[in-house]
Amino acid sequence: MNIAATAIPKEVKQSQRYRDPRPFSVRFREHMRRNRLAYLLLIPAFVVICATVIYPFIYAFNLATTDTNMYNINSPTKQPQFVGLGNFGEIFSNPEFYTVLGRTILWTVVNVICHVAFGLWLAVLLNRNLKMRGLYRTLLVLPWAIPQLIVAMMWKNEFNTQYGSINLILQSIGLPAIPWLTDPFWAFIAVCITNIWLGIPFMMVIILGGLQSISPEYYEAAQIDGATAWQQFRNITIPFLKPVLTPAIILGTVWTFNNLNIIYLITKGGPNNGTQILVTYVYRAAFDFYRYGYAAAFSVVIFLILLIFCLFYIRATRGAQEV
Amino acid sequence: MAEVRLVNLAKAFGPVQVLKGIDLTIPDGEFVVLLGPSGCGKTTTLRLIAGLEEATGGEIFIGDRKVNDLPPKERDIAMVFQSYALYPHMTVYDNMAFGLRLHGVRREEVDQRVMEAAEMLELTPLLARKPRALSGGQRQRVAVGRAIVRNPKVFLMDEPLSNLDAKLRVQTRVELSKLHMKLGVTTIYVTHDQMEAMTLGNLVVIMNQGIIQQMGTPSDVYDRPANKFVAGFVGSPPMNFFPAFVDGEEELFFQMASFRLPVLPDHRAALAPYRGKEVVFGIRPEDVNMGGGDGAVHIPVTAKVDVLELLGAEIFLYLSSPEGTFVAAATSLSFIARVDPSTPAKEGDSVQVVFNLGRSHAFDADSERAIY
Amino acid sequence: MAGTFFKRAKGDSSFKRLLINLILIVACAAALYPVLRVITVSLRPSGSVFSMDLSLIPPDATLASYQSILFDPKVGFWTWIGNSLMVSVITAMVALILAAPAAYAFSRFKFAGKQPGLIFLLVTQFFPATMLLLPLYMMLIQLSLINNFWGLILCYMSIALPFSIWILRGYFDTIPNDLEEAAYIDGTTPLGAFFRVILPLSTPALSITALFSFMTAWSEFIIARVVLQKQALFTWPLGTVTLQGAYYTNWGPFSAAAVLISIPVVVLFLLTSKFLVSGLTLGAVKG
Ligand SMILES: Nc1ncnc2c1ncn2[C@@H]1O[C@H](COP(=O)(O)OP(=O)(O)O)[C@@H](O)[C@H]1O
Ligand SMILES: [Mg+2]
Repeated sequence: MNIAATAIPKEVKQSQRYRDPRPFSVRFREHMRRNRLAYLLLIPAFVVICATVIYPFIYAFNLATTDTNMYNINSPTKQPQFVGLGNFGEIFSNPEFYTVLGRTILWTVVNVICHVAFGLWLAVLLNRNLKMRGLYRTLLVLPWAIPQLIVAMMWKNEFNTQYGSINLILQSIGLPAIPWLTDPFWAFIAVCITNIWLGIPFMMVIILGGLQSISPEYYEAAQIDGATAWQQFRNITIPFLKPVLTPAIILGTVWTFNNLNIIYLITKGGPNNGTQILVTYVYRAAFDFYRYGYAAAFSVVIFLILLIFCLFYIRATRGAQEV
Repeated sequence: MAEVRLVNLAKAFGPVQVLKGIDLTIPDGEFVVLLGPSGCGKTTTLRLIAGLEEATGGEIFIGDRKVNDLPPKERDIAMVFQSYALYPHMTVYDNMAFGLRLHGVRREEVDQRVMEAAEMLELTPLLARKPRALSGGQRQRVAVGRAIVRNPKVFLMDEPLSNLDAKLRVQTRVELSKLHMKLGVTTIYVTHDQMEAMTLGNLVVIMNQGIIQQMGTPSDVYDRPANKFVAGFVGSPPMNFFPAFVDGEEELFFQMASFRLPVLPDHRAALAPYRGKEVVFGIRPEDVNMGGGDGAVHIPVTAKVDVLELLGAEIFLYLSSPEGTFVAAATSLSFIARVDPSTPAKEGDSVQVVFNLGRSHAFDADSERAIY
Repeated sequence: MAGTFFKRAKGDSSFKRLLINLILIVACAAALYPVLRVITVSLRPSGSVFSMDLSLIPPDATLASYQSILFDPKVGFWTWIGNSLMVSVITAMVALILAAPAAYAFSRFKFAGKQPGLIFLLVTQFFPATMLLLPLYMMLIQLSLINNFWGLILCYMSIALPFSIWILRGYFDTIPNDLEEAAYIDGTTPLGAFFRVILPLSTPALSITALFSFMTAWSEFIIARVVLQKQALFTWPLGTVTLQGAYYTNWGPFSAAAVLISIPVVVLFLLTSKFLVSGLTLGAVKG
């Protein structure tokens, strides 16, 4: 159906300067009459979000300014003290924070680049008239379907120095075994491999959706103009994918940045803290060392880092679009 | 069935006044076409009548009821959308039955009415299909079917043929006409296509910029346009307009750039107040004829053929008269003549044409209202 | 849709097609191999779980591990599955029931606070797990909802609900407005149009959303570990990890459990995967 193509008069975005001259009470009543249903539909979700997101969100900021820990939280003798920005001071004055931050960024960049690159590659290959297309697609999304805990355990097993199949294969072609989970460097590689394996399907599916919405006519026109395959990819595929890629990359980045599961389950941040990223660090501070106030402050810092990243990213991609 | 009456109807979207006071009475059982260029507010008018949009001023009556504050479902109307808006998840049958079921019609009656409508629109073999599996023309018929099973007081149709190809459009136009004759339901039909308007409507309402310009039968609006906009909008190719200076003593004449034309005795009284002023002279292409004329009333004008368009049954000549100096607009006049295909004219030729002044028009230069 | 690609694939030389197929087969193998290995391990007899054997079906394949998981009363596999199922189904259903109306409001109305609300929904994705978990944990302690499924479900709501609203809104935005208008004229109320036209049309997005919420809750370990501390309440991720502890040197039962637990979600996922591409409209970040 070509419903979408027809001109339904959508409410045009009004100029910022226009002010409805009618008195507030009249406008308010009209607004309520038009939007009553909207508010009714929103209320249930709003209540639950208030309870499970907004209140904890505010609470987290509050908690961040105290020295709450396991010993003073419910103790009759000791009360959590207000420490102002003390927790933040502690975070920023700890050199380990910067090491971990750097590692987190490295982890995020490596993962997201691989997710997008492999996802794009596979999506472009899949978006063709292949006989086994459906089968390929089904098999390729499989990693997404498997519970992350199992993924982590599965790969942990494969990284076993002695019995893991990766080392077995390496040895069978005459290479030395790799100390995957005992050497910090290799452990980092190992968790990266696992997470890359895990994240490709999401990107692939999103990109495939984007590819399917590109009208073939653009390629036909480009072919008539004599564009090479690479030029077509560069000048048609990429620009058209931008609207799906931008949110996908933002989400992919924050999810990876905050991915607790894989690292926590495979290495717990070890060996020797060599695979610690910010979230695993903070999770351990909270639930293994019970430093709640400190962990809350740490969480706020992570959140702000991501928020700033996102604002910059949106601005940068917007800027690029305007050029 | 019911009369539809709009009283000083106004609609603004924020600061933009889209409808500026529409007064319109559509008699019971009539087929009325709202015609106007796109963006003039036709769809908005229809949506106001349907209740999909709230008026910011004025009143809407369907029958004797003022419906301004009623939701669409209580207005007893049916609408055919430009996009058809068929429910993609329902079969053709369910698309048509949906409204009836919502109104609590008994199952057997739903079935009977859907079957009847399907029969009438030749949709019977398609009843089990989903809209996705239909051609454009079939979808259009389902949209019409969905409207007629409800047996509403008023049909509203928003450019229902604009998504069909030219041939199907003509066919469907005829079908719609027949359907209206059979059902006799008050119908308001929106289009920007004047051919559709002229052939379909008993009454045509011409709109521009949120204002009704003229309402009348197709021949009214064609032969007696109320203003320059209507004159220029209805008819294809459009009416030729020349700036003209009204001059003369007893016998008035139009002074154009390079020639003058007499004012017919019938028109003198109307033009008398314009003596010494500029007006707009209008003549339709088919009233520009080749030939020498009689020298008295039908004074021949010399013009050059710039372009010749051969359309089979007729020829369009794009003409220009030589430059003149009489009127302020001292440039050559271009105009179109619609002539017999046997006319021996070639591009670049100089030809003599005469104007059928009996069918000419004159408009006030400022208000653009028709003088005669 | 497949227009050019269709033609191109036809026009591709057979060498190129072979190459494409080869790449895809290698990729599929990479996606599949670790999964198959789990099955392999689960089929090994308990004596040879640690084996250097690389063949996918071990020569001495046995279902003993499955037997011990399924029927050993000490293991409690069925309790975990029951707990997980309950938590996940309730999470998915409640999230869907709350999210769909809210998403519809976001898609169709211009209420006060709509734009900030949308941005907030996106921003919730930036929260590190601990950001909400910590306050939620304390809230749950105060409400005595620790060791309570509702406490866990509340935590999962904080993840599933914003995400569901976001996904559904993106999908509703793609449904043209005049379908509802047609429904109003046919005689529905605005709410009726939502239930009778929009919801049935949104099956792909609704399935995907429910699936995501379900999977979030089904596979979640980190939060469950904090909220549920009683063995009897363990969801399968908690249970399986204890299993791993108890049988530390024995991967067999663990792998068998992993296979059994994955099968339903994988099947569910693959069944809905035809909706993945159409249902997952992320929607551009407006603002
Ligand atoms: N919801 C709306 N918000 C703002 N302007 C609108 C809206 N709907 C229509 N308009 C404006 O009103 C004018 C008339 O629109 P419409 O009635 O659709 O014209 P028509 O159907 O005659 O082509 C147009 O200029 C259009 O831009
Ligand atoms: Mg229109």
